[in-house]
Amino acid sequence: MSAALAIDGVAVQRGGRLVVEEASLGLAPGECVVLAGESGSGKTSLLRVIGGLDRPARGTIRIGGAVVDDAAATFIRPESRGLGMVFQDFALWPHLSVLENVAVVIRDRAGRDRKALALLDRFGVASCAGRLPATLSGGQQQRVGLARALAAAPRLLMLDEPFSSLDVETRETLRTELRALIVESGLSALCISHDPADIARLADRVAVLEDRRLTACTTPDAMFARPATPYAARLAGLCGGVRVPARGEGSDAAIALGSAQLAIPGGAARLAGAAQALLFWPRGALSLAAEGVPATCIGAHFEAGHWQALLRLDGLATPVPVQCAAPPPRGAVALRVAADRLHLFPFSG
Amino acid sequence: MAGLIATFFVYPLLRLLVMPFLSGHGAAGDWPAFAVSLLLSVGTAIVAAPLGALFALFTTTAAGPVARAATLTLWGLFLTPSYMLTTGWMIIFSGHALRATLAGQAFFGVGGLLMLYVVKALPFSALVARATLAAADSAPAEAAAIHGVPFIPRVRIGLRLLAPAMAVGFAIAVIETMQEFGIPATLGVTSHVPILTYAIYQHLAETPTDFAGASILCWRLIAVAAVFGGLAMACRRQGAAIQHGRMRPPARQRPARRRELAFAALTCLFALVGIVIPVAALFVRALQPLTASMPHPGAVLRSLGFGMVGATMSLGVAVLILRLRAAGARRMTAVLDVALVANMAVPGLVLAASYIVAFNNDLLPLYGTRLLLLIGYTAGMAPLALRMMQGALDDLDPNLVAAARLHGLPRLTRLVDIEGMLLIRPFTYAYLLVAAAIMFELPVSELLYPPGATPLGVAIVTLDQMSDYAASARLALFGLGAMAGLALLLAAGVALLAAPRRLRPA
Repeated sequence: MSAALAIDGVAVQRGGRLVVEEASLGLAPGECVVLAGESGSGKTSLLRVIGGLDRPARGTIRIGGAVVDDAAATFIRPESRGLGMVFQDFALWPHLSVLENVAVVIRDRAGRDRKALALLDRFGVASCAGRLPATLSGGQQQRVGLARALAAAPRLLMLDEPFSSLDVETRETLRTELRALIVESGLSALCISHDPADIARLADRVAVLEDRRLTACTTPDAMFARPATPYAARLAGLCGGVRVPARGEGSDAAIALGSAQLAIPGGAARLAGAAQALLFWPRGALSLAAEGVPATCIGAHFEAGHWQALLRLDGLATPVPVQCAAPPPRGAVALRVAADRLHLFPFSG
Repeated sequence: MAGLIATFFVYPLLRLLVMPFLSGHGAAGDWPAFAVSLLLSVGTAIVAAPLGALFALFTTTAAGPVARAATLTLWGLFLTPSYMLTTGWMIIFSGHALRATLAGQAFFGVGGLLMLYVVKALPFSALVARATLAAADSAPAEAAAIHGVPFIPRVRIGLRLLAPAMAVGFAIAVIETMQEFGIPATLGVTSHVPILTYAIYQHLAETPTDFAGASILCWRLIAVAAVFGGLAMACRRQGAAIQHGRMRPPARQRPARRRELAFAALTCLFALVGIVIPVAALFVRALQPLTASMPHPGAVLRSLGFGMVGATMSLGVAVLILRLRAAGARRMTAVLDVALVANMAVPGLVLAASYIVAFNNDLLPLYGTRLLLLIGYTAGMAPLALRMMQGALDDLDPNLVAAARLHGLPRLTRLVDIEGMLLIRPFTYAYLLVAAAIMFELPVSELLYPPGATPLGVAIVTLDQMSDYAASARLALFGLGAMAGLALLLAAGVALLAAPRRLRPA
């Protein structure tokens, strides 16, 4: 079966500047890929190129196996690509009623209103059908946006940070609803986000766009186990990001964590000769114990079911966050480190 | 497009402006007219700029009925044709008893000119200052309030923030007053005060026609516009330095009672002087029994037609230019931008004068035709139309159009049901504003109207100059009525077209 989306060596220019270089990515039918990246990393530019709103400088884009843009003579217009899109700012047409917003994109004229109402009903906003978008809450507007995207009977659903302008409660509910919709309908979806929660709840795979390049395209669990970059580590839900002095010792790396020297097995290659490293770890890899690296607990806060202690270590500018089951005492403590679970990234700052 | 700009803007202006150099016309006459105009303009700007900045600050930051009334008054003053304003006041002071008073003598002199110039310059100053202030951040004022800065330093901070807006308002007031033609053509003629714009007209309208003399005066007018336009642009840039990406627009709050009362009084004063009293005078004089047959009976409908066709052409040009810009034709965009800035610096009077020189020959015998008159209107109004349409397009979220394309809406549906309907209100507003401006336009009409097709502005001013104020008032009011009728008709049409579809009960 053809890939729902295949982009091959796509480069995107904006205002004469290259914002995406040589991006290649494929989406299997029924798969949801979250395209993550920091602000300004080129996510939206790539999405616009896939949608046909902009042209790529190089590369080929295929939707459902058909070439829609090859950066040369072949260019299928956005309206002929069979797409649905949910926008960050909803982009509902303000002068049309909710029903019209959905009905107008249904190609088959017969029973348009009925089909639109059914879609609105599916998203729980049928009662708003006669109202103008401006009179709806943010969550209702985004539900209408989802209904409109599906009304186009798309081959590929694109979502541009669909939950970023919603409150926490609505965001959580809509995430679950969207995941259920994608799974049940077998729709392929490409979702742009920089929220780790979107990756956790929506993604079959995660593609990370950093410094104009796709640095990773993997499953969320693989990204958690082997993050390719510090940004990917953060996205995957690893803790830390602490800068520590480091050096290579044979095939291992030695890092200075406070007054202690720790050996990271096989870490020299990851260090790539850098004198400093960014350190990440999964929950539980650092813990308070009776013996270990001397540290000072400067405070603690409660966060989602556990306590988070902030430890000051000699020679480190940034406090180190460590999870613990009970509120830790202030003052001198000892830190136990599972060195084999640490992730190192070279830091050249 | 480049060909049109070259033919109807660059070529005629060059023809007019090189005349003194080709003819060896060195007489630098009419200096009194230039000096009086410049003095009056600077005097007007000294009064109008601070008032405009205060009005701008009040209408951008204050909430409540007084702020709304002040905004409405500013637009009313902006839209009232200057010669109608003058006609109203001339009707009041034309009575022998009032004319002989000190106020009457002042009105038919520099005092009257200054008063009317200030009334006309105020909305320009306020509206450009509003544009500067609207982009400014509310944080400095809020920070001063939160940190308990005393009243005097707070006023000083406020004045420093207002300074760029005031400077831009000052420059615009000088330029607009220098280029004003309606007031000199009515009160200026009656008062025998020499004014530059009317002197240009006299050089062109009187026999023998003195194109080279008119050209020298045009140079002076353009030079003043260039100097003060440069000042305005420099001040705008300085104002822009305080803007940053995370600003919030000033929060609107109901002002303190004393401040609100002061502005209520100021708004009332300008509404009375600039709108209510002159329009009431026109009404009263129009109701007086006819002393003769109504002159220029067709002028109202004719000018309404000119307005409608001219507005269609101006907006058509504006849309074409915006499409070219959107298509990313960079060289063309640069040419258009230069042409538009230049067009704004060149008043309609100069443009019309250049058309007489350029198109009164065997090669392009357009002078004396309705076509040239309409082209003159279009060239004069294109910058206004473009600015209004650009504003409307800027306000339109591009994602709304992108959503229509991505969801596969057919081209016609996108054009009519989405883009068309989203833009119909600002487009109608721009159309009405441009149509009204053309309908009551004076300098281009005076110089380019074909025989037997007197436009409304020319008819009113001619009647004023013959002291037939009753007929001129009737024409002015018929004109306003016709424009209001067109506005109502279009508003009803738009409301009907743009109404969302009612959901039929299941």
